[in-house]
Amino acid sequence: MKKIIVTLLLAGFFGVILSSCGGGGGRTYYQGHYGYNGWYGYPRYIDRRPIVVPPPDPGFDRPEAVQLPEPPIDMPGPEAMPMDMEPMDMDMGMPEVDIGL
Amino acid sequence: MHNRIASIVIILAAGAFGLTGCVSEKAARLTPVSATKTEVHHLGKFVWFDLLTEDPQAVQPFYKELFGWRFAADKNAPEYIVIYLGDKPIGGIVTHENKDPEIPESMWLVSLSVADVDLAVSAAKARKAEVLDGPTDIKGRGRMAVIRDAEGAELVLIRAAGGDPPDAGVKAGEWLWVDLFSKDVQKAQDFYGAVAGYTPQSVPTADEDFIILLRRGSRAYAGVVKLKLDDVEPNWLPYVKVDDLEDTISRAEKLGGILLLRTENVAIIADPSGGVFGIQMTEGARS
Repeated sequence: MKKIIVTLLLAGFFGVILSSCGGGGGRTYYQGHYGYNGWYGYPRYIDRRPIVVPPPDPGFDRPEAVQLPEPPIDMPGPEAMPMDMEPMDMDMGMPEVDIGL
Repeated sequence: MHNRIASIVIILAAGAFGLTGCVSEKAARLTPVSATKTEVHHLGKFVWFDLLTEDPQAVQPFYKELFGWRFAADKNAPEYIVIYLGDKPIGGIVTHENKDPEIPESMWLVSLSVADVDLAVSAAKARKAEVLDGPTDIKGRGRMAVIRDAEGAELVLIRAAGGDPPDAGVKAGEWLWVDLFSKDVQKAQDFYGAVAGYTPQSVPTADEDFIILLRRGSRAYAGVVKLKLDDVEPNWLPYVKVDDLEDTISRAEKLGGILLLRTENVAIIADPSGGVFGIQMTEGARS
């Protein structure tokens, strides 16, 4: 009989303790994944988006970067070009050909 | 004798276990939405505003300089930052880690006061809404659920413990208004009529368009705006009241914000973390 009473008292004690503290969840509330806000795609919002470089087309051979030749040392700069040159005759007397454009 | 000692040990252990449980639960208690216990609920009103951002520290100077807000860690949940205007709590900032590090996920989540969160969630689910969190009881805050409505706009449904904030006048720097940007206005007003008991009212606007006011009784609490921008998804947008629109826009841009849209009295701004909000200069017909 004593055991039953002690058991009931303990059960009641646990019940009171747990019920007085229960229900809160013990966590920060916002746990879900809410995606991105609706303005993410708006053009002016794009500044907030990372720049994504699309991967190269696997069927396309990317040209390799090559070293450009150094200009000759004695090449005159733009300031040395004469500004009062007569316009050159570029067609040099070639006949006009209608190419259908 | 041995039995008595064993009983005392068990009771002490139980007490220690119980107290430990209480301490951990105390940590989950959040600041109430109202500074005073009103025991009154303004059903249909948006009563709380949370900024979910991956960098809570970075956005605080922006909002502090722009609106005069101050910030304090919740005394029972230090990871939750409460926003104050003066001594009045007006919202919170929550650390929210991006699921996709390449995409900014900062957003303002608005909390709509409803009579019964569970019934509102059921009504929303019946109309193809998705439940993202809850319903759950949060000590101090109340019963809450986060839903994504049928068009994809997220919001919180809340029954605030202790009541909603007093329905008093709005000062500059406080939340003034909330708009739902919707691609299907009729569907939206039907949805929120069922979930929150709103009665819609169509009102013409200055640019020969219209806005749907979501009313309960004599009060309009939110608007539904037809979303004409293809790049923008449906969303709930909260507005802060400002005294000077031009000055606020100018300062927002200097502080790292981006002006997204503007009219004569309203502007939409993205904060430095990507959270988007509105500012509104006058209360006008939409208050």
